[in-house]
Amino acid sequence: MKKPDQDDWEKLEHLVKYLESTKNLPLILSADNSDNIYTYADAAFAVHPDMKSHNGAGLTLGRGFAISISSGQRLNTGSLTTAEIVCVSDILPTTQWIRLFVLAQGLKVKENIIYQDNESSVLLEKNGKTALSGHVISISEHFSSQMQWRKRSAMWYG
Amino acid sequence: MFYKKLVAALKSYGFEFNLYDVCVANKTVDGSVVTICFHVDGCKISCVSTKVVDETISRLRNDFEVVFEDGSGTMKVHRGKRHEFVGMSLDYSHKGEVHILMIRYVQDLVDTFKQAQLTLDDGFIKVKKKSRSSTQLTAAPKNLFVVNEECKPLSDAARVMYHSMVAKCLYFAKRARPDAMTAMSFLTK
Repeated sequence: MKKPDQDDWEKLEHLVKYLESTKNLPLILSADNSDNIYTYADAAFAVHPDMKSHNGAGLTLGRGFAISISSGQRLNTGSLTTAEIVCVSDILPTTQWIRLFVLAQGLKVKENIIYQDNESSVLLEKNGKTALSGHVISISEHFSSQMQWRKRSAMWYG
Repeated sequence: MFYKKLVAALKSYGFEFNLYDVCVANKTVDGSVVTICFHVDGCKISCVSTKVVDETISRLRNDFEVVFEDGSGTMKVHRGKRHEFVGMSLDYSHKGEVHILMIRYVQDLVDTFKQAQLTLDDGFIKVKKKSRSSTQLTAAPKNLFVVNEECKPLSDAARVMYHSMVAKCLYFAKRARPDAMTAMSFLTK
């Protein structure tokens, strides 16, 4: 932030107070014995002042998010469904990396699952047929459906 | 330079590096896997058998320990289920779990913030005593993404403080508190 103002300071204060009062909460990481990697992804549509959406995602091996992502999107989208697709596209590299990393550590990965709460997005990501115009969207969709096709990740609605 | 030396040494011990993370190496000894993760010059060695860990430590000590005349430079070894590293405390005492806490780091952070508020509070950064619900249990205030255009920008001193505090919080959120990430991503933007 180039020019933080008074408002931002208050938001920072809120954060610091929150952290102070919850400093005894540990981050607990653990793996279950399913050999799956779970990713939960969601997008908040047009929450930024420039009407861009925000991504939120977490990767877990069973308990606790080993990697958590919260990032603003870089492109404007027209609907929540599109924003969700962009979100999955943004986090896919991380999910693929963790799969490769776990495999290289000599462990098994049965399934690499991405959970999303928007059925339309999941269907578009699965099938890769785009009803939406726009080059970038097609690439995101293509990317996710390719990954799916190569059995590197599975999409779930839930 | 140090990295290259460490990598060469570990490779000569028979470690294989993870292709997808250059700071993680593995080696199989008698059917159990030894894993070394390192950050600059701090190594975390984990293995089922303590004997193998001992062995690895002594080899590393042999090759890397340089003790200066005043006694500094000794390699510090910390064994057990609880470890302190760059502000984090890693607790492996629960079976199959790791608990990450950064209590002292947060305390420092809060103290610095309070100090900053005292020194910078020249009537400018007065925190409004409005009815902020005390029960709100999230890191992000409800109006996080609402930008108030009428607010005055911070003074130079306050701005420097702001950036340094945000950076500290970011470090903490990235390591131990993913629930604060939303607020972080807005405040750093």
